[in-house]
Formats: sequence, C-alpha cells, structure tokens
Amino acid sequence: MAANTIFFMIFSLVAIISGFVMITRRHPLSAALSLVVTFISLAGLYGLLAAKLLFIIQILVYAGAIMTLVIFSIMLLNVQEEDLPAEERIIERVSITTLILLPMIYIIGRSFTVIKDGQFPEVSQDFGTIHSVGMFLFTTYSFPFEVISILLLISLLGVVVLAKRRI
Amino acid sequence: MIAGLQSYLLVSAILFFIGVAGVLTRKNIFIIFMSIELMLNAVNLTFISFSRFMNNLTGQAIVFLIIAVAAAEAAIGLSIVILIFKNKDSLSVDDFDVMKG
Amino acid sequence: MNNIFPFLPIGITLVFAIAVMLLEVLLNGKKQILAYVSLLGVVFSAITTVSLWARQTNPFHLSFFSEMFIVDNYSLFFYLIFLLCAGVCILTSSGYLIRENMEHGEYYSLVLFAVTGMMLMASGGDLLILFLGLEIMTISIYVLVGFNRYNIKSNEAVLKYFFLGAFSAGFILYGIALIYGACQSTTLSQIGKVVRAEDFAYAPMAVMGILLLMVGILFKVAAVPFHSWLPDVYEGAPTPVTGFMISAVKVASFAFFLRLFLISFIDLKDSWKDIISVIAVITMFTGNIFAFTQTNIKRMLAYSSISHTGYLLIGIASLSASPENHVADAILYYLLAYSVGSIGTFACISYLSQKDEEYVNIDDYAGVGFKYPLIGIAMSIFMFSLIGVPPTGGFFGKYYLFSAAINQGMYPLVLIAIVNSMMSVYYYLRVIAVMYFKHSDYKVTNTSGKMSTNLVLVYTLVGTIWIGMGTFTIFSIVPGATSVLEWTKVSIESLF
Repeated sequence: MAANTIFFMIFSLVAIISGFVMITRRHPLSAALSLVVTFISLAGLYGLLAAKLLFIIQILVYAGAIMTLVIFSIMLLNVQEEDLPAEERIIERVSITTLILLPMIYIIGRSFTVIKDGQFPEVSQDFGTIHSVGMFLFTTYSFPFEVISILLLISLLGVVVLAKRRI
Repeated sequence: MIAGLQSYLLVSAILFFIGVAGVLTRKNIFIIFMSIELMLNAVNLTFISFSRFMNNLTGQAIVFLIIAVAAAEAAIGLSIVILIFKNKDSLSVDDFDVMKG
Repeated sequence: MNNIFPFLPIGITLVFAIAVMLLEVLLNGKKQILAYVSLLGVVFSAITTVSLWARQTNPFHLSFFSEMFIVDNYSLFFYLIFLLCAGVCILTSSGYLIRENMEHGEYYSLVLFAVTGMMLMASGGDLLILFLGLEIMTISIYVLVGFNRYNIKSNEAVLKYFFLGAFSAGFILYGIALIYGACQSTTLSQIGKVVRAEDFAYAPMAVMGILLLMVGILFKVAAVPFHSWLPDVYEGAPTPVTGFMISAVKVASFAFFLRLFLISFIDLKDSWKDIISVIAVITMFTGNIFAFTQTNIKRMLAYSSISHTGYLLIGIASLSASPENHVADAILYYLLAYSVGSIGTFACISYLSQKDEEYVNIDDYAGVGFKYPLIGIAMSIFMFSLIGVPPTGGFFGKYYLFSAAINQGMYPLVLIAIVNSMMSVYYYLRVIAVMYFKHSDYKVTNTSGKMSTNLVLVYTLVGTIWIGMGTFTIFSIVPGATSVLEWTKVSIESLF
C-alpha cells in the first residue's frame, strides 16, 4: 500500500468517526471540539489532494476562525447543563437516522461507479499553490470574488442588526 | 490498493449524510448548526477531489468562495442563536412552536 | 459606455443599498428620508432596465466574465418584477416600521441588497454565480424576517428560515459539486453542451447532481414535502417582508430554476420530469387543503402560495427544448401576474394590521369593504386575480400555463390543477365575503392611510388589471398592454 493510501485511510476514518461523535454529543462544547478534529483531518485529505492553499485555509479559517466563533458563542451564552434540550438516548436515535439514510449513501455511491478509472493523474508542482489559485481567482474568477465582497458586507450588516442591543 | 477518486467521493458522501442525520435528529440549535457546517465541508471535499482528478482549478476556486459563504452564514447563524437565547433562554428547537395551524 | 450600461441596473441598486446604509449613520432621526432615497434607487434602476431593453434589438443576449454574468431580455424581465416588488415593499414598510417602533435605515438597505442578490440569480450564467446570488438574497431575507427583534414570533420565524435555508444550501452545493464532476464545468451553456453529447458517460452522476440540486431548489420554492417552514416564516415575518418574500423571493427562485433547467438540464428531462409532476400534484393539494382551515390571513395566503408553486411546477414539468411551444413564457407571464397580485394583497394587509400584528385574522376584516372602499376594491381584485377570474392577470396566467401544458400532453396534471383552482375559490372568496357581507362591528379602526397607501394600491391594481386586459386584442388600446405577452416571448427567445 502506498503511503498516500495509508494516510487517506487514517484521515478519512478520523473524519468520519469524529463527525459521528459530533452529532451524538449532548453538550455543544464537546461536539464543537470533535468537529474541529473532523476539520483538521479534512485538511489532511485536502493536502493529499494537492490543494495546498485550501489545506492552510481549512485550518486557519474553518478550524481556526469559524470554530473559534462557535466555541466563543457557546461560552458567551454560558450554556449550563439545564439549558440543554432534554434529549433521550441520542446515540440510538442518531444511529437509526443514519441507518435510514444509508440507502441514500448507497444510491449516490452507486452513481460514482461510472468513473471507470479513478486514478488521479500527475499534476504539476504548481497545482493548488497560493500562486496558481490566486492567479485563477483574480483573473477568471474575478467576478465571483467581487460578489463575495457584497455577501460579506451583508452579513456584517445583518449581525449588527440582529445582535446589537439597541440599533 | 490505491485510494482513487471514488474513495474520496464516498467519504464525502458519508460525511454529508452524517451532517444530514445530525440536522434531522438533534434538537440543540448549536449542534444543528455544526451539522450544517459538516455538510458544507463534505461538499468541499467533493469539489477538491474532482478538481484534482480533472486537473482543473475551478473546483478549488469554488471551495475558496464556499468557505467565505460559510463564514458569512456562520456569523448570521450565531447572531440568530444569541438573539433567540437572549429572548427565550432556550437552546431547543422544540421550544419554538408558538405558531400552529 | 456600452460596456458599463448592462451593469447599471444591478450597480445602481447596489450603490443605493450601500448609500442608505451609510446615510443611516449620518442622519439622526429623520429615517423617513431613507425610504425615499431607496425608492429613488429602485426607480433609477428600473429606468435603466427599461432603457436597456429599448436600446437593443430584441431579443438580445450579452455575456460578461466568460459567461458568468448574462444580461438578456430574460434577466431584464425579472429585474423589473423584483424592482416593482421592492418598490411596493418599501412604500408599505415606511408606515409599518413607524407603527411597530423599529424604524431603522438598515431595513431599506437590506431590501435593496436582497434585490441585488435576486438580480444575480436572474442573470447568472454560472452555477456558482446563481448560488452566490441565492445566498446574498437569503442572508438579507434572514435578517429582514428577524427584524422585529423583540417579537417572539419573528424570532421563531428567523430560526426556522435560517436552519432550513442553510440546510437546503447544503443540498444545492452538493448537487453543484456532482454536476461539476460529471460535466467538468459550472457554466450553464457548457453543461448543456456536455449533457447533449451522445457519448456522455457520466450521466448517472449528473442526474444524481440534478436531483440533489432539485431538493435544494424545491426547499426554496416551498414545494411539498419541503414546505413545512413556509407558513410559520410567513406568519412570523413583518408583514411587508412577507409580501416581499411571497412575491419577489419566490419569483427569483423560479428565475433560477427556469434558467438552469431550460439551458442545462433539458436534455436529461426524462430523469426529472416525473418527479416534478408528482411533486406538483401533492403541492397543489396540500396548499389548497390546508388553506381551507386557516383563520390567520397571512397563513392562509402562505398555503395558497404553496398551491401556486404547484401550478408553476406543472409548467416546469412540461418544459421542452424549443421556445416555440410557449411553456416557458407562460411561466413568466404567470409569475408576473402572481407577484403583482400577491404583493398588492400584502400591501392591503399591512395597512389594515395594527400594532403588534393584531387584526390579521380574516374575521377582523368584517366591514372593511364599506369603511375603506379603496382597500376593499383592491383586495377583491387581487383575490380575483389569485383565483384566476377574467379579466385579471391571474386568469390569463393560468390560461396560458394550462393550455401550454395541454399542448405538451399533460392532460391529467392540468385536470388536477383546474380542480384545485376551483377549490381555491372558496377560501379566496371568503375574504371578500367577510369584507362586504359579514355583519360589521368595525374592529379595524386606525389604518395608517396615507398618500403612499393609495399610491401603492392604485399602482398594483392597475398593474393587475392591465396585465390581464392587455391580452385581449380588443383592449389593445391600453398603451403597451398587448406587449406583456410579447415581452415574455422575447425573454424566452433571448435565452437560446
């Protein structure tokens, strides 16, 4: 087995298991921490797929910024044990739902069988680096990049409207 | 055995539906929110595997933008959670059933 | 100048949105001005849209940024609907916001931002741009739904809308990812080409992608079984926002839906046609049956809007690859008539409602018809339009849609739709009956009747009748009226 495959197995197993752990935790804080583990192992998968820039961004933005924001809000609200919704037998209920959804995974997975040769081709050293993705974003994808700026402005405005004490 | 495109796609499908299962079963607002984040991440993995497979940067650029969208949505979502927690002092979606009919 | 002109409608809306946001900080107290500033933006944007249409030889099709942004008659047609709805929403909001004690300039800014997102949805030529437009629209609408921050219903509405919106965005993105993998592109026309090719090996994956994308879009247009959020959100949102959502947001989702399925996926029709047909049938029945039992008029209209989604889905199911059979232009016509009728209804409701959303039950409207003649007449005409009584726009919308579907051989679907239209007569007429015939104790007293009230009502009223009248050749004396049908035809031709 190639080293790539071993790493793939480790990262994907960790991602799936900690993802499952995330949806079965009772307290949101422990769920958030296991989600961080999922994100970091996903970053590892991105690295295996030669997405060097996204590897960094996944750790910096997702595991770093977004999850910090989530954990910060959980701590800010000072969520106590009695604030949590009464949920009985979470693991059983989640497992049953997952079992019900298994056919969906099977149907989607079966559509992947049309890919005859799933081997990844050789790519140049430059593929997925900051330079190449940056060039792509600022030339071909300049329009969506500008559109994103509107989106961020709106979310800024929205947060001010929703969460400020008095507007 | 070498992990090919299909294995990556399968992992992302499994992660996506773990997220869906979380949204459908859980009642805690924070955990529903994080399950949605997990769904978006699974999608990102699909994009990146296709991008690598086709040797085409479009997928990576899209993921870059999806992360920005997810950040914007996270900000809005958390401010909504804070807003309703302040007004209602509850984190359960079941407590929000004023309207019926 | 030629290069920048196609960007003017969207650019002006955006500039005014940002300007209103900044002016909010500078102006202290005089928030009323912001309503007029944003209205000015809407009017300017509409003027540029119309002149853009007039300057070109129609149908025209301009694409920018390697086909990511497309300005054609189709998108301009939708721009006009969005701007019309936004204008009505802004005019009705100013009185409403004062009454509810939440007059903040951000409101108008967010309405204009939402319009920007909708415009991107109507003119995106790439799945990514369509998605970003959708996100811009929905994020603005989340905030508008939750704008009444101390109202528990508003909070509940924003919570439900946010979670279901984000959940459906996940499905849309997963669909886009699979389509990108199967077609190696996210450009709509390129996807269409790949799908059309004889040796398209990845068809099962593309179909899977389409189905996932469809789940997401059906969430957005609130088709059964993805509709459960809609009545609660429509009830809990501030009334002018509900009017905006029921008209502009739904129209924008259909603009997205129609362009995507007409340009990209029409050649895989066999894979999605039957599913859409089944969903159309259950959507119509669910919407109409639940609308019977409602006492709150906002909820009643929410369920009736679900049934309108059902009628429109019949149109989507009978789409075909050539513009000659007029299914797609019937959908555009229907959307125009429906959006004008429903935003007008909500203008009436927000004038009649009192502080803290009281008097939104149908029984509260007893005697309104005689006490406020204009509102009574307007409400009745809008109800007739939503039922589909000639000569209002709604009748011709249904007529064109159903006859185009019959030409495609969808007899059973159209039969069910006609039965459903008959069922809907009951609950729409009940509103009129209560307004005019129920013994009145004049519960509704103080309407914020102002100049803008009458302006909006007359404006939408004329619109509803004009859209309908224009299709009679006999009435072609009504200036510009016959061309409504012509516009829809040109709009669809410009796509191909």
